[in-house]
Amino acid sequence: MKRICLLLLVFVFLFTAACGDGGENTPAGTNAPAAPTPEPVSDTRYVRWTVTEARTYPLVCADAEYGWGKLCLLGEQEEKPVLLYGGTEPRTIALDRSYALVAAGPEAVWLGVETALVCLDDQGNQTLSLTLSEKTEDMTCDGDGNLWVAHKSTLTLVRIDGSTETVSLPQGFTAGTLCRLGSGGIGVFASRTKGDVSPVLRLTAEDRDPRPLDGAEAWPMVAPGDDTADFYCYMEWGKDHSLSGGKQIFRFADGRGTPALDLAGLGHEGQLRGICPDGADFIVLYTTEDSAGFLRLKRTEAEKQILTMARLENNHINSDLIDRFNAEHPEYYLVSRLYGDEDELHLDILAGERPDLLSGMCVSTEVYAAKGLLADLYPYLEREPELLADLVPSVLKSLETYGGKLTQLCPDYVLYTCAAPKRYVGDADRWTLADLESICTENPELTLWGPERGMKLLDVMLCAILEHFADLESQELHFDSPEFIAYLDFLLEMDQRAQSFSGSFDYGDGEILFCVENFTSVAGESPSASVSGYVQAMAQLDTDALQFVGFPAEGGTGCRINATSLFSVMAGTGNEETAWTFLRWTLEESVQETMTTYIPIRKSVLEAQLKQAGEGTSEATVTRYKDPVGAANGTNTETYTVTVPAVPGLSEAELNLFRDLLDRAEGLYQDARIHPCYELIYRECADFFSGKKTSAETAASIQAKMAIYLAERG
Amino acid sequence: MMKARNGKGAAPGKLRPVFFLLPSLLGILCFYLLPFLIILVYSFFDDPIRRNYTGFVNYTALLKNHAFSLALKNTMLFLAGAVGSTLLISLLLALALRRLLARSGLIKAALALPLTVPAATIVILVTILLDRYGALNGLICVIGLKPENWLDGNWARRSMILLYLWKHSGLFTLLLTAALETIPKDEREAALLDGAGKARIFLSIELHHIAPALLFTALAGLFFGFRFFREIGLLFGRYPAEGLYLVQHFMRNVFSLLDYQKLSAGAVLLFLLAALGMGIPALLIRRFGGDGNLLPQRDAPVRRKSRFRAGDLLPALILLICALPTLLTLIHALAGEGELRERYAAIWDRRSLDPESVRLLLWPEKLTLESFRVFFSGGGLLRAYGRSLLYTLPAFAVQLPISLCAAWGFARLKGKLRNVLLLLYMILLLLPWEVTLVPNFLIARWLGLLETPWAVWLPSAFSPLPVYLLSKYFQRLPLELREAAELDGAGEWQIFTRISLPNIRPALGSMAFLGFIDLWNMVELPRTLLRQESLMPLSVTLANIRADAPLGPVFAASLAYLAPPLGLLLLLGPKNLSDQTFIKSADDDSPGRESQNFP
Repeated sequence: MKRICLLLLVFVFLFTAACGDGGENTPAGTNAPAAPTPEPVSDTRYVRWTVTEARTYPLVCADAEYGWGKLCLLGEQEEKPVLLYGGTEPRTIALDRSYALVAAGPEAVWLGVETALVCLDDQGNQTLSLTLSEKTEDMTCDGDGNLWVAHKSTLTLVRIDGSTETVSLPQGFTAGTLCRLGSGGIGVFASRTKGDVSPVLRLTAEDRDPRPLDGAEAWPMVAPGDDTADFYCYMEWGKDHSLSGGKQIFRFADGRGTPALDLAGLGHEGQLRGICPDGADFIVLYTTEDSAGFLRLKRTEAEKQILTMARLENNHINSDLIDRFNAEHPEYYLVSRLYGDEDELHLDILAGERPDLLSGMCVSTEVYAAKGLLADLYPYLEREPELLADLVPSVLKSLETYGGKLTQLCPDYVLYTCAAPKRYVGDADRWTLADLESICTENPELTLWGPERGMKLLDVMLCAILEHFADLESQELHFDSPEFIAYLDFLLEMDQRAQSFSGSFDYGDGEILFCVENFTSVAGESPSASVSGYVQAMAQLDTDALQFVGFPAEGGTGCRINATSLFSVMAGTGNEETAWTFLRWTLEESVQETMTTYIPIRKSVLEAQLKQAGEGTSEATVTRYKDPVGAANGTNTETYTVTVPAVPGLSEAELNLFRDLLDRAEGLYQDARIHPCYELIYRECADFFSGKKTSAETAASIQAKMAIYLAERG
Repeated sequence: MMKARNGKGAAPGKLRPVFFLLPSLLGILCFYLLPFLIILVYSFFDDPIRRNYTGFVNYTALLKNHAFSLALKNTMLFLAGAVGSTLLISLLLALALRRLLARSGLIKAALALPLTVPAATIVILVTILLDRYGALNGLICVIGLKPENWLDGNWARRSMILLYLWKHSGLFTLLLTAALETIPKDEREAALLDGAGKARIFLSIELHHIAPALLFTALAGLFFGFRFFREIGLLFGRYPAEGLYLVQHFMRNVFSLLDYQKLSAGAVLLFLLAALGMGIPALLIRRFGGDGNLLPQRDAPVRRKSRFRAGDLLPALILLICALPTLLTLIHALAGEGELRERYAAIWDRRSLDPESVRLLLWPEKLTLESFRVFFSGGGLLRAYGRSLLYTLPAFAVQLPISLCAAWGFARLKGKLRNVLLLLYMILLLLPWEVTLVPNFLIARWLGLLETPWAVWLPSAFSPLPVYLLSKYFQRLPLELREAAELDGAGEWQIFTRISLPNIRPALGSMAFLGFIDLWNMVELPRTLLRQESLMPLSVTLANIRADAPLGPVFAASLAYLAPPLGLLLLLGPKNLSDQTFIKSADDDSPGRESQNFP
């Protein structure tokens, strides 16, 4: 009996010590991706909201809050610090100095800046003034009227009677935002955490011991809760707080979020500053450069048509695209459903829960295409011949999958190709694996890609290897051929050459053969243009010495496209037309013109970008925010100026080269970790390059395993 | 008035045996049989999405499918090799160690130890030892022999058989030792007097008595053989060496290809094969069953304080082999991360310029508790550990009474129905998780259990394994005990709780240990039905650890992972694992036995 009790005690101790919040971070180094955003599709009440009351107040606003039926707008009017305080017709209270933060209480309002705090009563008279020991990061009143002030690693509790108390926060936790919780107390949202500490803590004035708030993350926008919610928030990490962003606001309660308020289609512009539930309505506060706005939103009976997109990625570009679609289409709501792996998605599909759209990044699209689960998009495009004619043909061709159908579409893409020194390849526009081997044999000092070794080399040529040694459709495999074994030995030799590489990266007379280029943009200077953009690349590459010959390929051009945003419409859902609406929208000129990170798929938009690239840009002085996130939420609008140097225009030859490379693109670059065949070859070759197997053993192993794979496919 | 000896006609108003069966039957129906029936239906359609009836097309296509044929062949070869060799080695060990095991709880505990090591830890240690640059090849090179790829090619299957042997031979030895304990002493003595040698005594007397136990152990071996796919899957991925491509690989891969028709047809074929594979031993058990008496045939051995004498090399060797992974886990958990990475760089660092075989870490250069600190600092591993306890303990607490009641119900049932139901239990138990993956997911979704602990608790609470094992033991209890109780006016429940349960306490201990281990090590069920990483138990978290993850905390977590099963082992007392026979699982319907045992 004693032993039983002792063991039970140990188990209970471990269990209670260990079973903390369920929303902790993924343990470092696990294969599972981070927990997906809990956006339940089962909650179908995505309704439309209408503005029933709208007011603006001329004010350069520093901070805004609405609480206990009172509006608090802090800022400057005619360069004088003021507080607008009261109902929807607030009175203007002149202040003796500028303040940065405001917190509304039941019968008072607090103002703060740096270490100074003042309390004003309903009439605007100062009733209390405090000087704290640390700078104020944020402040809020709890439901009892106590003021909580956040510093970096502590909180100050200012009770109604004016007494103060310091509360320490856990080590590794840096306080960011405070928020009154509907269930009582306040939530402290971290601006930064170090180590494994919960990102959101909860405290009350009675119990000042910070406890993790289960399921909550330190989302960038949070608003006080009410009887039904701990708090309201965005459940994503985007920096866009504009009203035109049309974000969904969630009600967070019991460890999970449910949709509460949709800002799409409101017809107002500005940066969201606060949200407050007011009965069944919501009050939305926003600011522009010179005004603060107040909106009362009322729920309508109109429900949005829900679209679901299955994603195995959490790429922000795709997330932003979806948000933008939602903002511009208030009659729809596209919900992302994030999956940890494809097996989860398969289970849902087999269980009858098919998504309307599929994001093709990190997905073996041909598996779904082979099962007839993806709609052919050509019939949709053929309904608009002008649109179809305006899409880059080689990109469409590259996207074709099973049986020549177009089962996926990308609004933008990257051009993935390779150049080599002319002294080795001459003026050829393509080359084969045999050419490659021959060049390397004749030039023993040559490396393929400088210090890049076996697996990296394999990665860039995996597509060519598979196509050359396997025909999946006719189920022919030649991995056990002497040619493949010789090719493996060749790669091993190149791997060894790379080990001893210490040469220069001068392609003109250096020791490197491959110049791998990932052309991401032709838009030149843009907020998000990658440094590998075509314009910058052409400025840096010695095109006199280099020939764009593509990757070695048998009978192909060796140029591929790669796409982050790759979408498919799932067939048989009954929602295909609506799903197509999303894809069609991504092809709109207005949307394509904003795609400057990668290359747009519409020829007309691309040609306009190329024309601009040909003209170049002159030197310009550009103003940028020091803290873009702070600027978005109004907390830090400091700017700096930078001089952007002139970018010379591309020459006609360079422009034509780009067009030529694009025309030559064939096939989609496949990540080795997604396609089962590539994964199989990759894994075997990894053992080969690390010396665990000979080339013959590797070849035999690949042949045997590929045969099994083909047999599984049937 | 004497009641009928066959136990019919329980007194009116008292609990009938069938009510003991009901909870288990309902659970089996819902979480095991129904999923299989769904699979059966799916096997006649092209896929669950289009649902076009295809008749037997899927079966004919599957039988012609090279991958399936290969997988089936490999699975049979693997199981035959693994289970057969383990049985043989275990029998030899049982014969050699039976006297020592009778008095040494330490050896018994050591034999059970390999079952407690998590699959993920086994995989890491096996890689360290058997990789091309592993410690074994290092030793081999030192003595001048040619190193081998122990985890590839022809050696892959052999290595896995050896791993299976290591992991399960201890348990088998305990089971067979217990069986050997019950052989009537006088029969041996009579044979000795007649001049029979040890070999003759074994073949003519002992083998006859332990045949049911051997067959039963083989069945258990098949069950663990299918479960062993966890280790194989973690080590070799989706496409292992050709000789190790098993049925589960086939099923997982075709599932990834959304080829559900192949999976369904394969599942049904596997069911039929399992029925055949189970049915034959079941018949053999009926044919070769020993005598029914489960009580020990000699006085309980005097328990001397266990100690090793000089020259007891075999027990010491066994102790070392069984305890080695646990010791290595402890040693590696005490080493610094830098030391571990540097020492084993050749295995995991694919960019090693001049790889040489690693040397096994036998003692760290610098002892550190950093790995434990990381584990206990409230990180993901510790929370996963808590969730493991959360999922295992309630399921275990419910599984035991349900299984006991069901086992009693089976023991009291008569006729072919009981045998058929028991056979069904075992076959459903043998089916790999991949077979019923989708139906279990569907059922969990229909019941609203997805991503809740109930998705794990409910199927686990109705596991058929303990029911089958315990029913055999209940059947072997002497009839006189029950009759005496009935004469005293005891009802069914009183007989069950006051007579039968106390008499099977050792079996209960063994069953509790096996049941707990099975629950504690679950991977597939939570992975499929819980879905979110934040809900996963430690067994899944460890299985998901990437090669580039810090090794130290993984070892620390593994050590902590061993604590509950070890604790249970100590709580139960190693002696209770095999002190009295609990698997004298002869079917008792043959003539002459009914008079002696519970009907």
